[in-house]
Amino acid sequence: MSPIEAEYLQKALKGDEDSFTALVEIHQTHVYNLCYRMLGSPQEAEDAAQETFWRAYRNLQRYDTARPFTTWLLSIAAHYCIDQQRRRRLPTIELDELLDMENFTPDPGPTPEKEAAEKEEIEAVQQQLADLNPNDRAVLVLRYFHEFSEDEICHTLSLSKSAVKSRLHRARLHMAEQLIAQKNRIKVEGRSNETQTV
Amino acid sequence: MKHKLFESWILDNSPITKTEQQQLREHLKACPQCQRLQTAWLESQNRIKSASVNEPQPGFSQRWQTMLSKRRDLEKNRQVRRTLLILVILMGMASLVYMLQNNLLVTWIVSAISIIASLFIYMSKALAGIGELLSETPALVYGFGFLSLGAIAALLASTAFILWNILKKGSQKHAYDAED
Repeated sequence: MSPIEAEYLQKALKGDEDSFTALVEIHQTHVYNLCYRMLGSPQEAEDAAQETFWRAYRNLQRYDTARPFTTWLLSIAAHYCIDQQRRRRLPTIELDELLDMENFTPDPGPTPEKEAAEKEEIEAVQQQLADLNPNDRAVLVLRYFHEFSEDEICHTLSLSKSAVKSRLHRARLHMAEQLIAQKNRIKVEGRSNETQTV
Repeated sequence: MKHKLFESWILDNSPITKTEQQQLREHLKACPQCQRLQTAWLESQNRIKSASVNEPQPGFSQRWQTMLSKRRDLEKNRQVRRTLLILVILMGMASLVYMLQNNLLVTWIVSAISIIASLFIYMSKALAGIGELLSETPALVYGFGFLSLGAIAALLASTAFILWNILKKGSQKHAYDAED
């Protein structure tokens, strides 16, 4: 944690609202990214990220200063997203939503080809993540998108080390199987297109 | 062979000995299924690593501040309502205790029952009076009465229908204007 962040945190713990807003500024991308990977849509991710900061704000006095603030925030976000996913089946990302999200991206730089490739990649990763059990998904997202160690995941999700290991194994297997299935689908579609043109 | 063992060597990051590495290499040469799994997992890892970091729309912290003030207002309102409800309950309980101590409750219950009973008596008397009046009225007056009541009801229904149509058209026009 940087000294300025520690200062904001100290002030926020004393009830300074502006300092908490500064902490929101610092951590918004981390929290939003986790929510996006967990929920799969920009709107849901925005709502979940806002909810995470609200819950953190309300429970700030319970925060253990010995733990990193980011881990605590991501723990709130992950638990919230797991609950959300359990409540309703995870939808796969819609192309329209992707287009909307692209419209909000501040940098209009990339070429249409690059944009299309990026969209395809996002969609491909999200499709692989879809259908993954919420807890397994949280473990995988924290491990690979946030580069958390297994111990950090244990603390964040309140799971035992063996549970984290087995969930990671299951999630990796799922990701690999999803990719194989995606490739098989593409092969079959390619073949059917060829036969149509012949 | 032991696919499960090789699967865990491929997918888990736990360290394996040189002999195990050799065993894995040999197995991968012979087993296309495990080979596919390894390739797919390595590619998946690459995809994840190259996946872009998603950022929220600009103005996230401003939206957070707006949400914070709204939620705090809501909490305040809820707190006020809760306090009022507690006060009402406490006052109710206090007055109940007071009435019980002074026998006021029993008096109130007795007077409420007597009021309800007298209301019933008046209603039955009124109904009996209407019955007598109707028995002395000729059938022609009945027919005329029913017809006029029907005409009034039809008039009211058609007026309500016309008014509803006018209101509906007005709101549709407003919506179209807003869309334009």
